[in-house]
Amino acid sequence: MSSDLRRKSRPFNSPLECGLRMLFILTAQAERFADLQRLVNYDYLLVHSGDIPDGPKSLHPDVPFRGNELLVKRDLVHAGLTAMFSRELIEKSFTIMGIMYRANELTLAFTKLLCSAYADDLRARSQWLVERFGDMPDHELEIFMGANVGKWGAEFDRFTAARDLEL
Amino acid sequence: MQLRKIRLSGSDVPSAEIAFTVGANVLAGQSDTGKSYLLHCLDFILGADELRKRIPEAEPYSQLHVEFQEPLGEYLTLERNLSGGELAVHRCRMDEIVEDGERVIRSRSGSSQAKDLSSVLLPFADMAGEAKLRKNDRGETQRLTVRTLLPIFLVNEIAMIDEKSPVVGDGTFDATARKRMFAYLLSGKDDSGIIAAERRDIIRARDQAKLGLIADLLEPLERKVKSFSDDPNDTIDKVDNAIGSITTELNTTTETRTAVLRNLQTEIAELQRAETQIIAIGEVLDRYKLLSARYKSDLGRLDFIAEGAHYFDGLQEVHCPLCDQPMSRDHLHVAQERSADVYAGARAEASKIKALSTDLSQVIITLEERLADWREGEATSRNNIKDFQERLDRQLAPALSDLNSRLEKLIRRRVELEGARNDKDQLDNLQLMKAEIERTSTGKTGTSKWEPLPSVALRNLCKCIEMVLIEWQWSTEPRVEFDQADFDIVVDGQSRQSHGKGVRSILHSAFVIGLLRYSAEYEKPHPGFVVLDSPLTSYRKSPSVNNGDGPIPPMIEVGFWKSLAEVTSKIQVIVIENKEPPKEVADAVSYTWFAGDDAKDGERKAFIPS
Repeated sequence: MSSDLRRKSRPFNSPLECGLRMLFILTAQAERFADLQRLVNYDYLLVHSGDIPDGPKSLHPDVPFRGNELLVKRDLVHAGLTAMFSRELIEKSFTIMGIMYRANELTLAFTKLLCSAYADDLRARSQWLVERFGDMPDHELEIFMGANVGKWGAEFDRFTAARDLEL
Repeated sequence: MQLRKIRLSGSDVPSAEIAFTVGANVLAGQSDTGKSYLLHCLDFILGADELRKRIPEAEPYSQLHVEFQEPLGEYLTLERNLSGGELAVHRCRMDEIVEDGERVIRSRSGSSQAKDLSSVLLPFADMAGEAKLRKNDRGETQRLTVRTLLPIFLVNEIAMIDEKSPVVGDGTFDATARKRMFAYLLSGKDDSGIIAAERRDIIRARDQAKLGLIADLLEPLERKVKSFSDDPNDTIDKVDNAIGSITTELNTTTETRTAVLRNLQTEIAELQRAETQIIAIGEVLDRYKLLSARYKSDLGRLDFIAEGAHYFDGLQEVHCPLCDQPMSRDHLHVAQERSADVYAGARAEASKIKALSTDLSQVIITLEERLADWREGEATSRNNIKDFQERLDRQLAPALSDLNSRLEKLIRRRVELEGARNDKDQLDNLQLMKAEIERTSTGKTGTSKWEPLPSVALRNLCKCIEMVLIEWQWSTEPRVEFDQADFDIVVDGQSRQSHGKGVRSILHSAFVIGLLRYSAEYEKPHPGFVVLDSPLTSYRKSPSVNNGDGPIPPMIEVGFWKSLAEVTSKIQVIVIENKEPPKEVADAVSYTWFAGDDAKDGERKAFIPS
């Protein structure tokens, strides 16, 4: 229970926040469907766009070993999508490809309501994300992410000189 | 050893023969009766090259025999052909000869060990057969031979009156050997122990060789020394001083350099510290900045979440598409939080983050100040290091290498000078050596000092001669000395040769007889007999330059004859004389008279029967 309490006290990485980000991504790819795995990958790339060459500046700080975030995001993204679906803010289809998600008419309208600087940044990066990776097939995206997940944030492993600091 | 018999023999002629007994023998006779010829025969048998006197009467004769007897009684006969050649020795009496006898040469030469006359006759006379005599000042020796001894026992009528020494005689080339022979007779010691000095010519040749070598060594040295103009000593001191001052300077510079290097090391350490700090601060700053970025992004997110939550709450909850139940707060498929709570939480969170962010900015500012300080220190260190290195490279290193090269040059010069000085010393030494060799080889090499005649023995001999002179009524107290320069006797302060012929002759006889008596009395070596030709009759034919050659005082003549009568049987004195001895003397001695052409019946005419 205590972990639940703590999660309540911190609003970061909540299903709501994650679900709101999903709305921007699905809005950007308009009519296209995306499955859960693609959306998990997109969520990482959206806030760490700086990890991709020529990508926009990352929205979240380049913390060490951030690549690992990808591995724990799946549940969160799923909860986020479920939260959004409970307010009919996204479309969910059961197809031969599995469960697929897509923006509906409410999605765009809702995201237009949000106008904080952060929301504008999310809008711009979602646009870039879809342009950059939208045409990449699922398995290629998987391979791309798998090849880089260990690399992102690994530059911090030589954080040693601080031991010599004279205070 | 005494003389017993002389015989000439030939075919178809009767032998000519004369016998002698122990003690005194007098052979008197007219001129041309062969008296002196006998002396020549003795000379010939004793190894002369040839028979120096030839008389017509002797022409038919071919063989000469001379018989000797030693005191114990053994006989020895020498045989030689009158025409010359070698000798034969018969160890028996002349009349007992049956065989050819043992052949001996007259005188062997060099290192030959062949038997010769001396090696046979001298032992027979109880003298050392291989006695050695020094023959020159260098100490080289030769054998004692019969020929060397001859003047002291065989005195012919010419030698009798000669002004020359009775020992040395006319022997000029073997004067030293004869003098040593005399010393041998006096002392009984020969010169075998003497070690010869090197021959003059060998010394000279060696000196020449040395001089040649020295000249060869001198020539390049002189050239080297001449090419060196400075006074080597002076310059060596100067160079030493210069080396000293440069060494001091070198030390100072090296010390400076060491100090600069030490400073440089300290500064490098300082620089490394600054660099480490800069890197460390940089890394910490990076982290803080990351944190700061996070705060900023979190604030953005909180804004976004709050806004999102606000609108989200405004939407109607729909039924679950799976189970068609309202997706209420308890529904499994719904988000755990209520959006209204999220909105409030986000606001609270944002204010906390803002506070943290403010603190962090302060820390970052402080760190950046410290970073700036370190950067300044780094720059200072770099500048200092650059200065030190420049000082080392531009100032100290060239100074050191300059000093070193100067020192090296000076040391080379020092070695050169040292060499020059050595050359000079060697030159001086060689020149000294050369001068020494030249001095010793041009002048007479220091003649060896030889022991003079034994003085006690000489005194005893002089006493014996004094005794003879007393017997001969020379005076009652004659004083005889031996002059070692003239090698002759000095009687009463007057040398023998300064007297006239007659006195010279008497004194010569006194010397020879005195020596014989001395030998008998002191048991020193001597042939054992003497033969005197005409001691009383001055040699008539000799053209003497001395005018004081008056006749011998009659008193001395009387004394002479009288003393002959008293000669002991231990010795043998044979006197050949023109004058007849007094009757009582003639009776007392073995007396032979050659009457010559005026011979009466029963008187022997001459040596060779006609």
